[in-house]
Amino acid sequence: MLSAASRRNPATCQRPSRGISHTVAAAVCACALVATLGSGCAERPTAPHRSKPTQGKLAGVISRGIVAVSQAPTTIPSGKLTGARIVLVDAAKSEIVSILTEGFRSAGKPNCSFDGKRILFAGAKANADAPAIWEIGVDGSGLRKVTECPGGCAQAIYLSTIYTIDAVAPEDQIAFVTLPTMDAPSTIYSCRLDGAEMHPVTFASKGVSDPTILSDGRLIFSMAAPSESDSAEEGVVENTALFTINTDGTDVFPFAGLHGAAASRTAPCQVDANTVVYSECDGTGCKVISVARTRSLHSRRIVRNIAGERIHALSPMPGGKVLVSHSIPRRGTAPLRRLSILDANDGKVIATVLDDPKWHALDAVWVGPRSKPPGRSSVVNHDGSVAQLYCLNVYLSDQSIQSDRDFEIETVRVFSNSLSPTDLSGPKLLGEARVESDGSFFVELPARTPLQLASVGLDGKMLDRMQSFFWVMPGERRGCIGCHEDREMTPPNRHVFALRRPAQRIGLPPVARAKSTRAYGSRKEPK
Amino acid sequence: MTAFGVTFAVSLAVLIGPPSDKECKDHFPRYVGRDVCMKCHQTGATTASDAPHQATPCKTEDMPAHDRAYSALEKSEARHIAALSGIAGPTTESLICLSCHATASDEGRRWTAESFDITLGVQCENCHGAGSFHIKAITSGLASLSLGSVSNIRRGDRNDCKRCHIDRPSHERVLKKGFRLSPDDSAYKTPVNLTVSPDGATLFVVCERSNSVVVIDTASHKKTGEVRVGARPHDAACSPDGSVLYVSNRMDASVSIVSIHSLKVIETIAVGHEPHAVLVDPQSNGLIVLNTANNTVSLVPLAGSDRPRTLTAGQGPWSATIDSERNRTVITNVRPNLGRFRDPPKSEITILDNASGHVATRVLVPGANMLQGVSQIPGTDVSVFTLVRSKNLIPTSRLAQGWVITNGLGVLWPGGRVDQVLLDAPARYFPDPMDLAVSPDGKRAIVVSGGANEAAIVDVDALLELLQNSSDRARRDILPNHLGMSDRFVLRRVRVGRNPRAVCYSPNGEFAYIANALDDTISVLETTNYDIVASIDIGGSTSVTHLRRGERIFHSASKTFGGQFSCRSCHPDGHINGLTFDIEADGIGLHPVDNRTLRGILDTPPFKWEGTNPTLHRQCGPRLAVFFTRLDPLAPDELDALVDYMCTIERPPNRFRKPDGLTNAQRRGKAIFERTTLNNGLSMQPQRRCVTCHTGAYMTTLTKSAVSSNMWFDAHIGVDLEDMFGTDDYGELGNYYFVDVGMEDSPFDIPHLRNIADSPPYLHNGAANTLEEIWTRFNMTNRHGATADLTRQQLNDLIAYLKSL
Repeated sequence: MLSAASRRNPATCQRPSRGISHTVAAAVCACALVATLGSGCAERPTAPHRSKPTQGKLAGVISRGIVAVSQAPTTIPSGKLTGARIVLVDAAKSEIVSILTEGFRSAGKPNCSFDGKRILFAGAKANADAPAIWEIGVDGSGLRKVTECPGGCAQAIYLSTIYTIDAVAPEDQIAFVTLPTMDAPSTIYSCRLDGAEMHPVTFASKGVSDPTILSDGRLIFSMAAPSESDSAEEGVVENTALFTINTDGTDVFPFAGLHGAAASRTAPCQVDANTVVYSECDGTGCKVISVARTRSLHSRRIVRNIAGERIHALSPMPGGKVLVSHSIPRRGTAPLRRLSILDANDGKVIATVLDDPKWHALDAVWVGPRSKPPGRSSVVNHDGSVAQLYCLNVYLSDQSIQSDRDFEIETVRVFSNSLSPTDLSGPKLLGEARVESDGSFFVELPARTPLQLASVGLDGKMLDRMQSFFWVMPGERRGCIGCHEDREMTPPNRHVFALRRPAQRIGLPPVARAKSTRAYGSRKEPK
Repeated sequence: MTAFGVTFAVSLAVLIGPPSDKECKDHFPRYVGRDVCMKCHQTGATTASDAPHQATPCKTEDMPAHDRAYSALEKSEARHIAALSGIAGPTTESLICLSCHATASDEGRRWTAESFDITLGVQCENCHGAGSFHIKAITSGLASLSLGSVSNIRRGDRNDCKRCHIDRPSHERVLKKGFRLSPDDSAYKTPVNLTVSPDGATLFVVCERSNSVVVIDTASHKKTGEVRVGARPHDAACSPDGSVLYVSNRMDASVSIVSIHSLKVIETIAVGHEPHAVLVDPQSNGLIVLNTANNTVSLVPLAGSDRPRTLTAGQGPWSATIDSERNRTVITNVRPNLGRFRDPPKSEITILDNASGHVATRVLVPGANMLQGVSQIPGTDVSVFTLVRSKNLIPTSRLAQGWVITNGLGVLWPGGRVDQVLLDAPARYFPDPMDLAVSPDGKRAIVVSGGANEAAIVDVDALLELLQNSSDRARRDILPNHLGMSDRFVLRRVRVGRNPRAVCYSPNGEFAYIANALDDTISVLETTNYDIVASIDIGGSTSVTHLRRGERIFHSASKTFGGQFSCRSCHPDGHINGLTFDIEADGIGLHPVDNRTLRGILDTPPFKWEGTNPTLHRQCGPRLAVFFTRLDPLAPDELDALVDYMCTIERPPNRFRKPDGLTNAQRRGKAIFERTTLNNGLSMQPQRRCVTCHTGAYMTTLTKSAVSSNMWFDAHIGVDLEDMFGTDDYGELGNYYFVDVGMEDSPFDIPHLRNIADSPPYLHNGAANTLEEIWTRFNMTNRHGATADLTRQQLNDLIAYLKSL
């Protein structure tokens, strides 16, 4: 089956459509297209391949170490990438040690387990197969399929554990991204290592990509978000920013790029205790941006900005270094994706690991033990359908505080958006919730759906409206401080009026409610 | 007095009011002891010569276990049981132990006759009540007396047995499962405070676990001596001439005076209870001692004939600094003042005028609690102190954005203005800021985070400039709540040892010393770059025992998402922070729950106010992870260690209890507590009697009970109060606390009453600021004990008794 993305935009591999990141596109190319366009299969090496001699001095950079690299043949015409594979490379020698994905028509996006012994990847064996999630030992043993999705899935990563109060013990998890289909945008799912307990953890209308785990256990990922363009006339344009969630899907929170200039921000990776780097691309090229994990919204620093360069993937290495897949397009030739090692502090290439004209280095991951982030204990009840949201003071924002308010907010209007890409009807009104005199409100909301809030004045007119969507998970009791408050502010310690009453169940005209329910219920979960 | 007179007087007493202090001695019976009872009630003692009346032969005389009960306390196992029960001191002096292993322990020896011998264990009067009136009646010729009548001998029943014959986790752990303290458990030092001699040559390290002060030579960084002081020392101060060291002893209510020359205790003086900080005021030549349990400050002259004075501080005075130029002392208080229900906490900075020996000012710090370390900035009249800003009024439903607890500094300006800033950063908190020190040049401050094992190096000028250059609104609303400000004044965070609790500078400012409580080391920092240049081993055990591991978990924030808080953040000294929280587990916005002490709790199940957790493992395992820390639950061995450590948190001696037992008022209060008839002579329903629920070693039946204490905000139902948001939103007079909405009266855990006076506020939701308020404001239905008929003195007596438990 042809994936929705590739049907709509065959050029996805080179220029991802809006809302789909480069790395998702790469995965789509490496996996989905291989599976779907099958016949043009590249010649597949049968023996370990010695790469072109390194151009850097890797022996001085890394004394030893293995890197799992996702490669795709450069000989395949644009849009027909196939034959992608995962190889293990001796990073010091730039020498391919083994091919991990023998027997796969296409494979990519490796991720290494915390003990450094297993590799998780997306792969398809037969032409008709949609890419599924597989796991294999670093030594090539124990290949098994973890899970599969109707439209294909990619970008799998190991997570830490998840625990609920009725569980026997914490369970290890993975996360992966389902590929966009006609029915649903790309979505991050989590499941156990055996593929059971599969649940979506993002609910974004326009898709998500590039999940990575932070050292504190949260997921960071790329998602469409509003942006303020440089030109006021242009108004608000679509933008891809980085967000975090807990691994149970709760507490979606902006991490970087929420209101910057329009750009595609992808490939986040944490390189040390407090540094996260990511790729920020616009029409002119890509930059490598560094932020402090603890102050990500206020510590943006450009560490690499080469004119015209494309950054395709970033992955952490020991010692504050980063594996980067990058290319510089040249007129008349397809840009070759090289694998290099960057210094995360200054963005300089320390060495080139792979630079083989026959193979794109799509992305890579360092193979070795790493610290396992803390697990998550969760209140999410996947059997439920509702959550609660309370806001302490709608008048609190980064523009004003309560004492300055010169307007009254009477209610908060709640909209939901469909998760179906084909539903272009726009946000639907779910209802309104009363705002108390101290600015607080407390409302029960449908879980697992994109939601948007708007403040409504005494005359019934909307005063302001969220530009982005958020979601709540079933059983979550999400608290927020204000409306667009300074994200580094802590909540005021007050027993607000709204919390002295039960949560409001927002009213909705029957017709509208039924419509909304259909839209939400149309979503298909992978088997 | 004849027997008739005795019985008549007793019978009428409840009708005509309680006896005066003078009458008390004769009003209440005394314990005469088993041997006296057995003169008549021994099997076979039925002849006229043996028994002057037809005494019922005792059928339980052959219960040797009762006889051995007291001596069992001297067995080695008793020490381990006591440790798991948080019982400090000898088991033969513990009210809790004696309540089931002896007789008359509650009343004390003041209420026993000379014939009574406590070492005979559980005696007849344990179930039948004190027998002196009975003896008097018999010897005065009233031969025909029956149990339960005017003889004043209670008819014991199986309920008496159940007071003690119940499952006790502490006993089971030791006697059946073999729990034993490790020898290493008593070999730790646990440094909690330190001070440098005036010449800078010697560092004195106060060691809580070893009950000692370790002496360190600052030149060689070597331990040169150790002196044993009182129980659980907390702080030390040198005399200005460097000849004497004063050490506060938390569990002894005393200060040890140590000769530095001989390293011997030359005198011990009594102060208030749980003394923490001790300072020497060179101008008045007196000691200033902060009595944390009493909420008082002792001013103790070191010379002359002046008598010690006691001043009232805030709630839990903790640390202090002397401003010599202005001749004043600035005191932090660890718990907020008792205020209006569900209002943000306000903690007190108490400022003493050292010259007059009076409290000069009380400065309130809004929104803050856990005010601990404090230091004067040299050359200024500005003080800085550590604080915590707990978000106890909003649901604990997330941990992002400082949702539960934030940690910071307070700045006290001349004139009493207080500013607050946070030491936290987003996703990187500074949990449990326990102490700070300012360099002699006033340029730097070091703050230690007990929960993160770090020290923050603060640029003092940058901090003060940030505050001075900010608007009033920013200082009030933004800076105290902003996670992005610490970058402006925290130069760096330095990793130190485990659980740093105290810090001080050398007199010349070249070095700083940090006491790492849970690895028995002192970190030495040079003060140019603030790098660690040495780690001094003060001689504690280097092994990590099961309990030590649990203690580390308890004090570490690493088990909480973002490292935001530790168990200790809400339980300083294993006790309380005086706040009620809105825990997510039972719904949000409603049902606030009072924080409860952890001191000696193992044998007091069920846990949680709703009594839904039968064990501490349940309380601290899944529930803690899902609703508090949000990370993985503790691994089984970690949980075992944490729970066992928590069980060993010691309960201090009851400060309201005299060594010889109950006072007259307390004894009268006990009679009220145990009464079965109202003042009008009518019989009380059993469920309205105090002793029905509050009995046994911990004064609880270890069950749940509904006493109509639940209020409208305890239920998950809609209550539209007309004046809900007005000034009386919670009912200034209590009118709105109880609203008949047809909801079922919810049962709550029956709390134990040991050291209950130390745990305000009261009730499951902390609505009652004092014990008195439980009955004067919150017992409107008269179901939390029948108390409506009590006179003021009777209520006072009842509370006096409760405080003695």
